Amino acid sequence: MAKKQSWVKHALQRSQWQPQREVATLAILGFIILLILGGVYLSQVVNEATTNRRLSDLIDQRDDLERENERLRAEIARFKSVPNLQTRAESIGFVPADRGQLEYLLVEGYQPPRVDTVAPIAPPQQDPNISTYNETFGAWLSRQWNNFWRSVNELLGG
Amino acid sequence: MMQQQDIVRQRLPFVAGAMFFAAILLLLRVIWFQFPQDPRVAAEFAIQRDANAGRTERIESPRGEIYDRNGNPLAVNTVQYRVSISPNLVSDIADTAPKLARILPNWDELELFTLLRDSTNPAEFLAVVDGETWRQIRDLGLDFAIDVDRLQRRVYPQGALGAQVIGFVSGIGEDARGNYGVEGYYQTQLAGRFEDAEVSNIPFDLPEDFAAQLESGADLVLTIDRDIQFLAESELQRAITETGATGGTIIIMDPRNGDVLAMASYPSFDPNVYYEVDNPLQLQNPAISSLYEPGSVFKVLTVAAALEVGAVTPDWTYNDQGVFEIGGIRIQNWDRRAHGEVDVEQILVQSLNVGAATLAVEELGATNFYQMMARFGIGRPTRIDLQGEASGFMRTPTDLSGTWSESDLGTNSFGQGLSVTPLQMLTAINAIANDGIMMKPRVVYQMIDGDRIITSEPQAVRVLSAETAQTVTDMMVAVVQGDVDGRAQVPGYTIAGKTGTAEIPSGGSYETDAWIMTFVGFLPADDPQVSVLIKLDRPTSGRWASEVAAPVFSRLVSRLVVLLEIPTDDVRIALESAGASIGN
Repeated sequence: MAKKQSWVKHALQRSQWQPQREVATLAILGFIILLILGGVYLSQVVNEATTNRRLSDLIDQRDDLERENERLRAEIARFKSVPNLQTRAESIGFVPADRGQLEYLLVEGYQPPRVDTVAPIAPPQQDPNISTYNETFGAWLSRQWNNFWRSVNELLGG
Repeated sequence: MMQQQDIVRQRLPFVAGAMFFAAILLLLRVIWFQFPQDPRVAAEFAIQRDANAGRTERIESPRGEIYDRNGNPLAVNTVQYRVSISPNLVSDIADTAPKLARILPNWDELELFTLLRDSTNPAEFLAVVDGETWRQIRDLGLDFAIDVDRLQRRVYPQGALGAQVIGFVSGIGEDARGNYGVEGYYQTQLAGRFEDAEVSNIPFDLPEDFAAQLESGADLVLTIDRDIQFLAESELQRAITETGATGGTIIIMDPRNGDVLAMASYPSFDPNVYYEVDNPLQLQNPAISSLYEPGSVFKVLTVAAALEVGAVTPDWTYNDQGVFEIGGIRIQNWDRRAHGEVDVEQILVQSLNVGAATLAVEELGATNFYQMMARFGIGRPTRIDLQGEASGFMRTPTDLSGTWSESDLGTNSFGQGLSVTPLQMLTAINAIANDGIMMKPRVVYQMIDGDRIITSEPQAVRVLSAETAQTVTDMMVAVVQGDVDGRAQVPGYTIAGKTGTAEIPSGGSYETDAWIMTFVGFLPADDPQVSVLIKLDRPTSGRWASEVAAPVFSRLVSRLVVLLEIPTDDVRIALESAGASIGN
């Protein structure tokens, strides 16, 4: 026991180890700070990853909903196609309106949303490919003769 | 002992310094290694990095949608899912096979079990399914064993309605291409965009919303009215059945702005299953691509041309002897009879070939006639915004081919020896309805590209004076009120119109037992809001268009005025005199 006490005493009394203890304390402190920083960093990363995953899921969910929306729009459009509407209307007793059944009312001050066509009007133009036709009978006969011989030559040549 | 410690204390800084120096050297080497100057090494690093940290995905935005003028969808997109499975990644085949078989109707349990057990392929195709089915498969929790590709699919919710105007889309993904109609004409604007996007594999990375960044194709709003299109197609189908015609076309337009309200042809097809069509020609739009000789409808243009250039006045008369000889051919009236002294209006009312030929040959002359026909757009495309438009054909004296002869002038005057498309013919007649101003026909009213809305600008050209147009309109009213074309009348409305019974060219002559019958008209004659062309190919129920096409026009217009809310003349005039503004 006495021997043991002397070893502890001896160790504590060794003044030359004092700086190492300070270094060790600083290192431990540094390690603890690093640990805290690491913990904070990890916590941030986990938070970010969770948020990103959630965001990614939300984007997927939105895409799914958009696709479903498109599908439903197509289906609604199919249900609302004219043949379907006509069949449905007829099944509940509607009949196509005849022009004699229409009544037009005069509504004071009402202007229908009529869009007048405003477009610059190009003046009439002469077709440059159609020049004045003033061919004489002789020239016409000559043209027909030339066409005839061209056909004959093509026939013989071919 | 103390000396040893001193020695250690003295040497320790050197050793530590040396190790620190070595560490700095190694660090510098690592940095030098990380930032090489050689681009080949950099490229290799990039590949390695991308292979591990991310992947390249092809991002697709949807194709633009197509709506009618009232916002009813005509072409939309849905997504289908191409589902594959990796058999080697399925942990419990006995459990998976029956579950999948319950969802996929084209697989039975045994087939699936055998496939999953025996296949050595990395992936086996299962099916292309809709969204609901894909959700059920996803909920099975097979995770990595299931691979899915999303496929954009074009859907036409109205079925065959307006198929020839809309066209169709063939192919999938980047190979999707619009064909015919607006799908083909506006392929570049409608097409969805495709981009390669670098997607991170690292779960900590902020996911990028590529789909939201990529612009979709532009949406189109057509001038077509779905209800009027349905009416046109229904009436055409009925006319085909009743007249025994082999085909036909109905076009309904607003002559004031060139809007095509409906364009129907028979036979048609369902663009959802366009591949089931046996004859590819059936996919075309005959209203813009089918050429035919217009026949007597064309006399309206001849008369308008003669009045416009001042070659004749409405009082002009000639002595109809029933025959007119020109360029070695004999032109006769439809009834083979002489009609005596006839004025310009009666040429149209009685549809006299001899009168039209006399006007063209003796009064107008070739130059004036062909100049005026060129103004009406005969022989050239209307430039409508639809794919596959034909030009038409008209020989002129100055053709380089030199095939024109004087007899052509005679026959062209009543619509023989030249060819037009139904749309060309109606566009020319529209010029008469619209006070002499011819509007370029259009099918797309607006294009919506993101935040931009681009409205199609009408294009107009004057081809006749307003006075000439009014005079010809009055003559066309007389035609419909006359005996020959009287069956086109609709009680309560003043209609301007003209029939045409055209022979069909075949092997250098004309068929003797088949005709193309047309009726073109517009109403109300004093303030035209709508024009209609009816064309029936080879009907067997009658010999003349006045018997076959005119009644179809009458029946169609009776319903059309209801849809377009055009009051009868007396109501309209009464409302207008009371200060009402009518029209749409």
